Amino acid sequence: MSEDRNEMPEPEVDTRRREIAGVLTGEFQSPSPDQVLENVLENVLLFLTSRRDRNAVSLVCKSWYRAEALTRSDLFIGNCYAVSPRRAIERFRRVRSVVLKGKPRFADFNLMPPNWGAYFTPWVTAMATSYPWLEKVYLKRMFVTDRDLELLAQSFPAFKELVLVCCDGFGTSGLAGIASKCRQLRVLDLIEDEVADDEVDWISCFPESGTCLESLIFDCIECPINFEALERLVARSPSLRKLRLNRYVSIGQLYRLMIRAPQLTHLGSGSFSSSDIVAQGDQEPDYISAFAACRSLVCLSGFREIIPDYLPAIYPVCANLTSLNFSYANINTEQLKSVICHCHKLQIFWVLDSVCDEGLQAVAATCKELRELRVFPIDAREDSEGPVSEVGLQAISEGCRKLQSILYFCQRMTNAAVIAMSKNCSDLVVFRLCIMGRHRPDHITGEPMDEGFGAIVMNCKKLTRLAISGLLTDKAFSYIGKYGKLVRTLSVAFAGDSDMGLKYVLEGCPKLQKLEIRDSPFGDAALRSGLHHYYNMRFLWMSSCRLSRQGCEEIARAMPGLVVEVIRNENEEDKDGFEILYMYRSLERPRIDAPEFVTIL
Amino acid sequence: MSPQLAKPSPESSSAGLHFNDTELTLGLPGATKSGTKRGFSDTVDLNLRGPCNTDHASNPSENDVSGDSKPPPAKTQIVGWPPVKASRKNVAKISKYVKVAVDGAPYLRKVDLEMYGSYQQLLGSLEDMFSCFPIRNYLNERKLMDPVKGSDYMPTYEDRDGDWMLVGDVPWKMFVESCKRLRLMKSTEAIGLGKEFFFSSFFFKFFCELLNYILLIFFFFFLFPFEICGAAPRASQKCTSTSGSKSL
Repeated sequence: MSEDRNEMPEPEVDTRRREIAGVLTGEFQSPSPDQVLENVLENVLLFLTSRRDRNAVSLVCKSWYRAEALTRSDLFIGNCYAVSPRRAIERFRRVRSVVLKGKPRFADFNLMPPNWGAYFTPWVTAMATSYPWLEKVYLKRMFVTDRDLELLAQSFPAFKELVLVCCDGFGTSGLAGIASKCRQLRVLDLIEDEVADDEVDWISCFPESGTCLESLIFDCIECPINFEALERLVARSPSLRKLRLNRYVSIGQLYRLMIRAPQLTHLGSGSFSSSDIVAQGDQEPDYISAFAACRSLVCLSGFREIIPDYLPAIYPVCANLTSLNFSYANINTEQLKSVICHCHKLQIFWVLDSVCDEGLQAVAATCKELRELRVFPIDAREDSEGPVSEVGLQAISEGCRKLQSILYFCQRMTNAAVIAMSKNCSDLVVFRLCIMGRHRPDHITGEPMDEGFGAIVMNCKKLTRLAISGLLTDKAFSYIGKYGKLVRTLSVAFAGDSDMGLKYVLEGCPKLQKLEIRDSPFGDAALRSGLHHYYNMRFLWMSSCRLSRQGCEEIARAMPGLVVEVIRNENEEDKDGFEILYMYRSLERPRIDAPEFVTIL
Repeated sequence: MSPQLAKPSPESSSAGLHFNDTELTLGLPGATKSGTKRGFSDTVDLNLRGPCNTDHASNPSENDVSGDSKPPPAKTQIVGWPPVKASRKNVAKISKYVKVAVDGAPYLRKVDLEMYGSYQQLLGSLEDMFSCFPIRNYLNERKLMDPVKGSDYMPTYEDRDGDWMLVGDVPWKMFVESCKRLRLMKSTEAIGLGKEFFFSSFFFKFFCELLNYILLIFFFFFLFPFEICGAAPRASQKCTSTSGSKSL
């Protein structure tokens, strides 16, 4: 029976089989009340999807623990070193979807040396034998090799979704394996990965006889693709709804794809510029009608090398857009205005600061439904021009009252604008302000930015994620500790005066899970003040602070359930010095795959 | 198979910048460090020193106004700050592609003006691209006063206001900013721009002088016979005096 392949031989299942067999042959033995309860519970728990609820269920009693473990199909592991593959597989036997996260976020900014770890290999090797019906894998900041992808493609016949975010270690040859062997593949999303160019035409590897592809995202791939093969692929993928192209696809090629796939809901437009050689007198295709034909388009991105002359092509879809990503588009205020005036339904907007404060004012005037805003710097240096400032932030706070999440890079800011945002946008869940100049105060009053961030934690009652910057004293941290009761993620850089700052936060924020600090004057005493809380946290990162090795060793001794890693600069001769403290709770003994410059205390 | 977290940019190597003086430090200001230390990756942030340095070099007037005797020392770049991913940092590397049309060619080309640092580089590249069309290099011709040759091309560009200008008049950066498209114009058509005007005015003057001579000779041959005949001595006097004053 095919049923046998689905389920592992487990004692509970065998018991049930015996019961059923008993019923059929007439030798029915009434099951124990516990057994009945467990069966009922399993059926009920099938409907419980939230992992936090499930974690709570598993703590009730052993019977509930077992029932929950059997029915969990979505496995989420926030730190791949917190638990070993073997332990996870032993507890959860019937998993269909796995989410794995590896390196901490600061690794994105070159603060973590390469080859630190977070290897996917042990996981995929273990899952290959234990989860034959795995359908979905979502990896973030993991090191994935081509062999891992090959193994994945071979081992899971029902595999449907692969999402890789900020991963590296693989290339186009690994993708070719996935494309050719995963016949049921619906989703292949590569988001901000580093993909090596193995010069393999992976696009041609998809099955010739039609695919069930619903989502194909490869805008991060920095090598050319076979466009004719892509065109044919789109033509034989009738379910395709999400397509995000890389910058090697010109606007002319985009046109050809769009007319084949007007059912798209999410589109990444590639380079949005024409290729080098344009024959004089050649007619440009009618881009406007191609966009107009995509009536379902709600999410638009790409514009990697935009020629602003082509912008009017997107006017027909603006009115329906809920998400617009201009964060790679070097456009000015006027060019933005011409587009944004149509986007009344916009909820998510990413943009470069080249649009200036005036551009943001235009956004505030039109996008009343805005939930998420990200303003990236076109010139990411400390002493660059800074076309956006407190003026833009103030305008957004006044115009976009439903704002929930903001990431704002700027060169200068005032407390007044931040306070205004805290009062106007009370639904804020994520507030990340990056004043690019280190230790920069309020540029009008000259005061530290304490009051601004204090107002944010005070007034935004739903705030869970906060990133602070600018000149900050311990006062700012006291505000966070006092009012930031729901804060789960806190990012600190070049802030604070003394150990008190960190103490306020560690003692005051009960929900704190992820704390990343760099270049701030916090020492061993501050570290000690968090001992009561570290088992509740996913990780703590402190780099270039005032920690000593003895201090870290103390923590390691006091808390055996923590893995305390001290990471030093590869070139550092002094074996005792270190730059980074990275510590996390773990059920396992310290990992054995750590490189030479990582010392686990 | 260790992945590279940062790829060296061509900008830093081509500009030949030396980073010995830009000491990177991960520690707090004042912490003693031995030697010049780099972060875990070395080039992503260091690249950005390039444009900054050249900006200082090309704006000496600004520095004079501010009272500094030399450009302000470049702020040491910190690894991983501002926290922007490497893939996003490339957006700052602006590319400015403009169309290049050549009179008589069936195809246009495109060049990225940000790839070049000066007019010489741009014109050299255009010459390679359109090797069959010799381009008149306006900048080198201050000494040469050759008359216009039939097959040469003048590099011109359309600026923001829609006017067609001769390439080479304004500083390079200003040109890059204002240029919308390039056109290599046949020199015979390029009258009215720059030196062409001068040439035409030279010939205009030449013709004027030639006309003067012709008129002089005309009057001389017409009026001398009158003098020989003795008629109108006043006229001949007038003639000699005017011919005397007509010295070149």
